[in-house]
Amino acid sequence: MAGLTIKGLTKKYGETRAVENLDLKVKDKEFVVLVGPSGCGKTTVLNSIAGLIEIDEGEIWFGDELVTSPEHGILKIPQKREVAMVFQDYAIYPHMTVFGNIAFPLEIRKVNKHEIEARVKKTAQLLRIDNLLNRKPKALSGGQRQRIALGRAIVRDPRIFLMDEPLANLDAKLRVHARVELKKLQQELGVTTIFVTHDQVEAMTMGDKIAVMNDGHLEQMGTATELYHNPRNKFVAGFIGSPPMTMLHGRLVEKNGSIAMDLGFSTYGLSKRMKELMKRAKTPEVTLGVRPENIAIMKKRQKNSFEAKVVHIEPVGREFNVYLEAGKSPFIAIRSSTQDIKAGDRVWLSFDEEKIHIFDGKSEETLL
Amino acid sequence: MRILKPSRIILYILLVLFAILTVLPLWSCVVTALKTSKEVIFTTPITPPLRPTLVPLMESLDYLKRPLMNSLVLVGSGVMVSCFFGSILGYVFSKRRFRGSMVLFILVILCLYIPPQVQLIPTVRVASNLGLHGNLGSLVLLYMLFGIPMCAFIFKTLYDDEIPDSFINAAKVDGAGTWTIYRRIILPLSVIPFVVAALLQVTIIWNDFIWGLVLTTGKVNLPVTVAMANLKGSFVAKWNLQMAGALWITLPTLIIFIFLGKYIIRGYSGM
Repeated sequence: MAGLTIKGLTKKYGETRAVENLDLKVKDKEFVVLVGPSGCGKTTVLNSIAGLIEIDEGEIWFGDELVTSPEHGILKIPQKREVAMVFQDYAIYPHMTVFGNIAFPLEIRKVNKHEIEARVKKTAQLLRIDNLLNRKPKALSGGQRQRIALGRAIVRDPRIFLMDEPLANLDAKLRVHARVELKKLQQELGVTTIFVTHDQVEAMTMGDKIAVMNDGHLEQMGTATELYHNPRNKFVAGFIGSPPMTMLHGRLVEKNGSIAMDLGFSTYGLSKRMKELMKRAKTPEVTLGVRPENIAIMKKRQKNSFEAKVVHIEPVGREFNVYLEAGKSPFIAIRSSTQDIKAGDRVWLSFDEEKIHIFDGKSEETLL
Repeated sequence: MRILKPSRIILYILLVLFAILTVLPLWSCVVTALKTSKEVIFTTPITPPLRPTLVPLMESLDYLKRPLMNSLVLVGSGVMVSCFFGSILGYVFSKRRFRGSMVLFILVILCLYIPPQVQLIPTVRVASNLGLHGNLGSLVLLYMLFGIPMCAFIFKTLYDDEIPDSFINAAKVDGAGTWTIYRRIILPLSVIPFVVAALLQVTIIWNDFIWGLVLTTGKVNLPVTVAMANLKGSFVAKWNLQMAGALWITLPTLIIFIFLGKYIIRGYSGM
């Protein structure tokens, strides 16, 4: 068991920088999810932690042990790192039985036969695959294979778990189930875990902390609630949350002593507390972000609202996703009932003043 | 009944013609091998024998007994050694890449493109310097070494396609070293590449003529192809004996091609 610290990790592939100056601190027993779009460098980070690739700059610490540091010529080989990794394709050896697969890391470590048998059995019971031990993996389902891969990881009591999108190949229903099970298992075992995914819902539901990556950079790290309500910049705001936040580009303008935002198709008045915003903003160009649940759809015009057209209504069971359009800008709102509106209707929109986000037009940092 | 288009009919006629042309030498070989010397003279090479006889087959087998054994030894040793080293090289080039490994791999592959005519004199000189010229040992060594590039190529391409890198990474993280990974993961998953490489080497070594001709002397050392060439006789051409001998030599490779041809195609296409 150990915490993990990454300082200034940089990895280049030729001229392209896969990861640039990344800092990450993971406490002992914490479940951290690395999330970001494909190609953002999250798997590179995971492989660096495992020691499967050499990095160009930076340091990786397991607890107080320095395991990677090109500057000091330190690169502990993966075999000696005592990490366990679950791969996206599970990497289950087809020529071995389920027992053989789970026992493999113990056999390599020359653990005696009786202990191997006892530990594999215990692990298999924990994962409820003890009835499959003599089967070959070929005939098993995706969910069962995923458990075997997990079994091979937990059987040897590693210091750190690394998981590279282990749920990506499961069907939707199984994935929700596996999410809960995996989280429960991690809490029981109390092993520091780094979990990589591109699915922000998976990230939000599983991580004690979530690290959002984009283009080789760490954009923000925090709890699900922090990221959702206080995103540091436009990328995090847009990436976290489903359906995504609506983004509107416009200019801050002063009108009759109060402040407003010129959206092109309409001018939206902002409350007084936004005044200080004018000072902070380097340019008047800003982006206004609003989450779907904070958009109010009204049948009649009210103060500080603008007209929009209902484009499409998407029922998702408990609620409805309403797609709207004002000017050329698309909006997504959530509503619990849609009896009073239908596609093609003209409606009026307003935002929950307290819940809107404003991002700098240039740096894309959060201003409010 | 379905009516065939004229173009289809022409295609089938052409295909049948090509098939006949292809099978003709083998047919001629079989019928001639079953004829007496007299009948060989009085009939065309493609007419079936009137009074079939097994005498030429028995006679040629008796003559080729020792060379057949020699060729078996060559095939056995050559296939085993070149497949083993080919598999290790394939593993290194496919899963253990290092700086410059691609260049090295290309160099190994280039060995396949050096025509044997160019290598004849240097090889003969090396063999005689080693004191191996004239006996079977020189051929054993040669086939072991010359098979390695081809095998390395086959193993590398098949490992690239069939064994995902995640297997290797998983084994590394689980604590396995290079050799353990080869022994526990790669080798058990190598059945198909071994079959492909072995079949290819068997046919190459079995059919080879030129190296046997220049590197060995004396009947006890000859591989079967060279020995067969000696069946032609000094003053009269004993066609039935030659054809019978050719039949014995063709038989093993023919059987391989009929039953396992798809593996050989995989080897040549690198798929």
